[in-house]
Amino acid sequence: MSHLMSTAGLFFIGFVALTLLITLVAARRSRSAQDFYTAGGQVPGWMNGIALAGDYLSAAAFLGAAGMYLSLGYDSLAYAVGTLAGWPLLLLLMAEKLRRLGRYTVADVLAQRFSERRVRLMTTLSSLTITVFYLIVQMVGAGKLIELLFGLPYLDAVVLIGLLMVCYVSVGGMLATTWVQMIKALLMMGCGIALAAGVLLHYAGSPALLFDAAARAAPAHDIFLPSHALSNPIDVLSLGLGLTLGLLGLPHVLMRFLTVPDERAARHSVVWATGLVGLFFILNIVLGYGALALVSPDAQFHDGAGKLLGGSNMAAIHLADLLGGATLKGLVAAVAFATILAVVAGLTMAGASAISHDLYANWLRRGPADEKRELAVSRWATLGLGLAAVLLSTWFQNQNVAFLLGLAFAISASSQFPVLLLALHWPGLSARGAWWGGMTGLLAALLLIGAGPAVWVGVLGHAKPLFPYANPALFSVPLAFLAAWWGSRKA
Amino acid sequence: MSVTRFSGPLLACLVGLSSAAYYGVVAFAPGLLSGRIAGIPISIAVALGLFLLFFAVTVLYSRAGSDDVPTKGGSR
Repeated sequence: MSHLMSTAGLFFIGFVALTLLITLVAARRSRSAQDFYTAGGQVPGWMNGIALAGDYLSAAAFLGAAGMYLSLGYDSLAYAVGTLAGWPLLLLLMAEKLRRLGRYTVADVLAQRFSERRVRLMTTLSSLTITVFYLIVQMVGAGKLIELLFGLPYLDAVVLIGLLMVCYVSVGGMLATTWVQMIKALLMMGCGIALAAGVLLHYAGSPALLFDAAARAAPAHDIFLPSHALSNPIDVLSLGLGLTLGLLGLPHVLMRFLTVPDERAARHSVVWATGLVGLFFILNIVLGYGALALVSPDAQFHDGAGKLLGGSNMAAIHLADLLGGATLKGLVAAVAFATILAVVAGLTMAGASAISHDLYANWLRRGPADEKRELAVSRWATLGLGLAAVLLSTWFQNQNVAFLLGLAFAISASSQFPVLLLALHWPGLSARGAWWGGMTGLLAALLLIGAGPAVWVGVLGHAKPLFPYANPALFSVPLAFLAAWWGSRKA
Repeated sequence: MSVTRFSGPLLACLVGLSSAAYYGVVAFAPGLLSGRIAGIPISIAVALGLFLLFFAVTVLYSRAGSDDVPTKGGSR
C-alpha cells in the first residue's frame, strides 16, 4: 500500500502542480468577463475538440464503464452507443447555431429570442440541476477512488476535490479549465491505450481470444448480450432516448461552443471530440472485457463475500494493478482522479456562470451588472456548488456512476434539450411555450427519478418504486415537447 | 451553406433512426445480436459499426460545411 501511495501520490501531486501552474498562467491572461466565461472566444477548433472530449469523458466513462462491463457485460456498450450518437446530432442540430447566437451561457442563446425573465430563470434552473446531478456522479467516483487507494474517508476525499476545483475555476476561468481538460483528455487516452495494449498482449493480440476468455469467466449468462438490467423494453428505449439526446442539453458541453472563434471551428470541435470519445469507447471494450476475463476470477481483488474491493467502479484500477503492478495502478488511479478533477472544474464553470451571469446579472439585476461584482458572484457560486455536490454525493455513494450518469442525461434530455431545439429551429415557439416546456421536462424528470428505483428504493429504502422504470426520458422528453407546443399554441 | 442546409436534416434523421433501431433491437429482439463474425461477437460488431457511422457523419458534415464562409459570432 505504501508503494502504491507513493506512486499514485507522486503522479497525483505532479498533475495538481502542473494544473495549478496552468491556472496561474491562465489567470494572468483572463482580464475581462469574456475571458473568464469563454476564454476570449479564441480557442482553436482542435483544442476545443480535445477539451470537449475531456469534458465528456468523465468518471463514468472511465471507472463506471469498466465496472459495468465487469458486472453486467454488454450493457456498458449499449450505454456507449447512445452517448456517442449524441455527438453527430449535436453538430447537425445545434453547434453552429449556438456559436452564432450565444454569448456566455446557454441562456444567452434563448435570450436572443425571448426577453422574458422567466425563460432565463427556467434555463438557469435547468442548467444548475443538470450540473449538480453531474457533479454528484463525479464526486461519487472520486470519493470511492480515494477511499480505496489512500484510505481517506469519503467526505475528506470529496472536500479535497472541492478545494482544488474552486481554485481552478475561480482563479483561471474558462481558459484554465480548457487547458486542464486537454491535458486530462490526452492522459486518459494514453492510459486507455496502455491498458488495452496490456490486455491484448495477454491474449496474444487477439480480440477473439480475449472474448473467449471473458465468456469463460462468466459462464452463468451471455456477456455479449444485454443483461437482466436491460430486459424491460420500455426501460431500454427510455435509456436510449435519454443517452442520445442528453448530450444536447449538457450546459458544460454546450458552453464550449462559445469559446471558439467561428462556426467552422465549432464543427471541427465536434469532429475531434467524436473521434476521441469513440476511440476511448473502443478501448473501453477491451478494458471492460479484459477486467471481466482477468479481474473477475482473481480472488485477490475480492472481499470475503466475493464482492469486488472498492465496488464495481474500481474494476479498471484492479486491472491496472494486475497488468502493471503498483506503478501502473498508481498512474491509472492518478489519471482517474485527474479526470474527475477536470470534469468537476468544467461543470463548476458552467454552474457558476449560470448563477453569476444568468441568475444574478440578468435575472436578479435585470441587465448588465458591474463586471467585477459579477465575477465575484461567480467565485462564490463556485464554492456553493462545490459544497452542494459534496453533501449530495453522500446519498448516492453506493450507486454505479455510469448508471447515475444515465439519470443526469435524462434530466438534460428532458429539460434543456427540447427548449433549445425548438428555440433554434421552430419559429412558432413562444416565451410561454419555452417556459412550460422547460419546467415540465425538468419537473417530470426529477419526479420520475425520485419515484423510480434509483431514489425511491436505492436511496430512500422503500421496497418497491412508485414509478417502475429506472430512466424517465421516454416519458419526460415527449411531455416537455408537448408542453412547449401547448404553451406556444395558447400564446 | 447550401450543402450543409440540405444534408443536415438528412444526416440527423440517419443518426436518429440508427440509434432508435439499435435500441429497438436491444429492447425487443436482443437475440438478433447473438453469434460471432470472425471471433468477434455480432453485438460488438454492430456497436462498432454504429461508432464508425457516427464519426463518418460528423466528418462528412464538417467537410461539407467547410466550403462555407465562416460566420463570426454576432453577439459579442
